[in-house]
Amino acid sequence: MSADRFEPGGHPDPEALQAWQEEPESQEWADVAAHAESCQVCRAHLAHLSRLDERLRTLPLADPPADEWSRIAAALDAHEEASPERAPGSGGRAGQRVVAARTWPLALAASLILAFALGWAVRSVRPPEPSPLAELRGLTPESGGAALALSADEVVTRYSRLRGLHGAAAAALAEDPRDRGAAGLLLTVAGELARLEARAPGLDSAEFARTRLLAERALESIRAEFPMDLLFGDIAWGARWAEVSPALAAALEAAPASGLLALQVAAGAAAETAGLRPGDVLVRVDGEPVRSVGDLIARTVNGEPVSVEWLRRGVPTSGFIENR
Amino acid sequence: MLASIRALVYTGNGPAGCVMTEAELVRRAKTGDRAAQEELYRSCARRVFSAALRICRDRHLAEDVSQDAWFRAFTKIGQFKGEASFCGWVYRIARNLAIDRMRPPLVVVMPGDDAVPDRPAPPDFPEECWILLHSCLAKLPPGYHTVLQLYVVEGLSHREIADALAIEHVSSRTQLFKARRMLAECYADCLEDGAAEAAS
Repeated sequence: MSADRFEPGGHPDPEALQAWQEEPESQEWADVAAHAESCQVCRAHLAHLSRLDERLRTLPLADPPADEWSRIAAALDAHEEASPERAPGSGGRAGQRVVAARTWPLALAASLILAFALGWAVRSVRPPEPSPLAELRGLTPESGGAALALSADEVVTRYSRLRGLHGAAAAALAEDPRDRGAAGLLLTVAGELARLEARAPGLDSAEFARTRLLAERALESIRAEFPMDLLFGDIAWGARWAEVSPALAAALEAAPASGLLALQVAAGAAAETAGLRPGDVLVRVDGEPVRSVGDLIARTVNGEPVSVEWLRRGVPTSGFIENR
Repeated sequence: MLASIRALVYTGNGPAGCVMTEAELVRRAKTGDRAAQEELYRSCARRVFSAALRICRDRHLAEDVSQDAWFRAFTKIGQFKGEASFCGWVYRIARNLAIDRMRPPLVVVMPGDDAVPDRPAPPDFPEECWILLHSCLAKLPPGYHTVLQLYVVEGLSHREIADALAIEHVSSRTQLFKARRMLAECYADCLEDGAAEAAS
């Protein structure tokens, strides 16, 4: 029996109880099962959660926007016109006329609405461009980069996209030679580029040499300004961070104006447990904006879990840091 | 299967109000018949949009996902083999796209059948309880909310959720636990069984 799964009153803690309910056959929860199968309090608790689940599953369906179909139809029209190889479908054209006639009976109104809908739909259905920051995902200290797991084609693609990140960091550094966040990002990316180049000798070596030269120059210029331990980013919660300056944010386009960019996240570290991954930009800790690693340390100094909010591909996400 | 033989009303080329099976509508939709496509869209638009909204929670994001799913479905309809219902196929596209918005790229799209989760008819609860439930869901942190929806409503396992969201298996379980606990506390007034305290 694992004593830490049981509360002072003798009942399993609710998380263990839930885990047993989800995996009733698993031997991992045998001690919980031995108690809960004959415990009315535990049974009542699980029944309570089941009722909650049931309510979630029976929430009424939501209506899509009233004009959703007209947007989809307009996007399909645009797609067909731009794709001559598409199956002609004579019935489709006839069917389309029926819909158009029913939806927009007035020719003038129809053309105006269609033009608007077409422009809107083509814009809105285009899949979002993946953020270049996502390329940081493969950079973990343990793996030495993801290069070894990539095919030759993937290496070339990744190299190309990382150069974009490198360019952004270099541009921010050119604006402010003491932008240590930009320097940390640049050096991190340069390291991965080196690994990638070793995997694919066909890569543009001249471009790579220029990349490496820029990184080395950045290193030299920063060495004069800051202690060495800042060169590769600041470390907290088991992750390396780069402070996002306005210049770096502008160069990266997708990043918020301030925050902390996760460069690397160690496996099993507090940052990883909270859900943070390389490429995420931490924006708030305990409800307050965060701009430096000092902010992180100051807000988790007492060891209590605190809420954290970050952006991943621009999408707000949140979790809790348990900085034991 | 029931969905594929369900009769739908077609308002396109044929006689007005003629009745067609889903299979016939799909056959016509593959030729680009916009009226058949619209009929297929109307037969499950709410379920597809609701799946996107449940996972994304943001209405604008869900609108994007839903439109994108339908656009992809009709431009790739040649890949639909008819082994499951068309509705289930679009549903899965929307669900994967919604999950894709909630995590970074470079993660494989999870496999899965094309089944739409069963949705029993809403029981007769007081309207204020539905409102409270929506309000409580809105208060959950995004990560908790996504895991809760994927586990409870979509019926995915923790392993599937972990793979889809690129998180650890244990993190999925912990987030589900915390989500349920927060929800139970918030929604206690509408769970009139007196067990609310036990959930906290």
